[in-house]
Amino acid sequence: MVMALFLFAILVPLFAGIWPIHKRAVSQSQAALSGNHICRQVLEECLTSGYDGVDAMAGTSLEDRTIQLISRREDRDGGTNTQTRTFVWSVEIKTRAEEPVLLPGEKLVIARVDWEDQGETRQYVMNTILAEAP
Amino acid sequence: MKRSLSRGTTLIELAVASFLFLIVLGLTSSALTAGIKNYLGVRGEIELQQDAIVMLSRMAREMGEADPAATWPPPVVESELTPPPGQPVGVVFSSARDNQGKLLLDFDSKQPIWQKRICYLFDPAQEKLLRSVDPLTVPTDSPPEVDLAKTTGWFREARPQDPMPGRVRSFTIKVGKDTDSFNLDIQVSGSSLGRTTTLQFLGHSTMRG
Repeated sequence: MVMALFLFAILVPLFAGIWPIHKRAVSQSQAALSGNHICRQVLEECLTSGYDGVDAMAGTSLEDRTIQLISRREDRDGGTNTQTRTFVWSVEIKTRAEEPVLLPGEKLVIARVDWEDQGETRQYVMNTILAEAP
Repeated sequence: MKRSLSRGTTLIELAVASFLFLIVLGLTSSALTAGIKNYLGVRGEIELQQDAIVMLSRMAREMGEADPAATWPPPVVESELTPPPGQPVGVVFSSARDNQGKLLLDFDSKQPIWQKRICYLFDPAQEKLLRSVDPLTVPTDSPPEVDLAKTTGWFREARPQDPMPGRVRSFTIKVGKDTDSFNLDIQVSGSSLGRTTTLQFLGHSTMRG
């Protein structure tokens, strides 16, 4: 009896403590996945813009670089949960003058996505190199 | 007769232990079920997100390269881009990219050489956002004027359309403080395990053509 109560007293608070951690982890991973998708898509847009057009991607306004995502979840029992997140992406282009490792005719494209998560700023960064067409 | 000194478990002790065990088991199984449900929900949401991000970023990029003067319906500041009755919701604008996706610029003036009109239209029956292209007869170095005959309805009837990925619930474009500023609003939805998820993506595009 004592043993059972002892185990119970340990396990129940343990499970109760896991819940908020689990919820926070799920929420953080969802935001990280969204950031990853946006970053990858921005990088693909840079590749589509090509060597000459990629500089224009770096110069877009903050308004154009902001994506707001509102997710609403409705359960069968009518419960709803709404979450709003704002992602800001940016593109930085570096040439050989700033990045000596680059070869002539190459540009380093750095795509970044920033978002706020539980009061902290998170960031996702992806890089690629674009070469001038022959 | 000598009695054994080791004491057995009483029925009450066994009942209490079983009761506590059942509570712990219940908590464990509910945590596992919720975890699996969450995982499936997140997986569905990821698929929706991928579709919507592709749509939004492609449209924003193409609109960003267009010229506001050649946009149909004509943009009115701080109001929704609304086609006349009978026409599907959408937008028609010009593009200086060729069929290979290369941006064509005039060698001397560096001005775009306009190649085609692009139309994005929303089909609520199919729950799809459709993209359609109409090449200009002669590419031009000045933005093509708005052709009032080439509306979203004309594109739906006369031109082939590519459906964008995802199940689109609604699509609206609102003109910002200037006629070259557009706020894009796409809602996609999906359901799994009795849970409906709606994702609303709000983006912005400034026409700089």
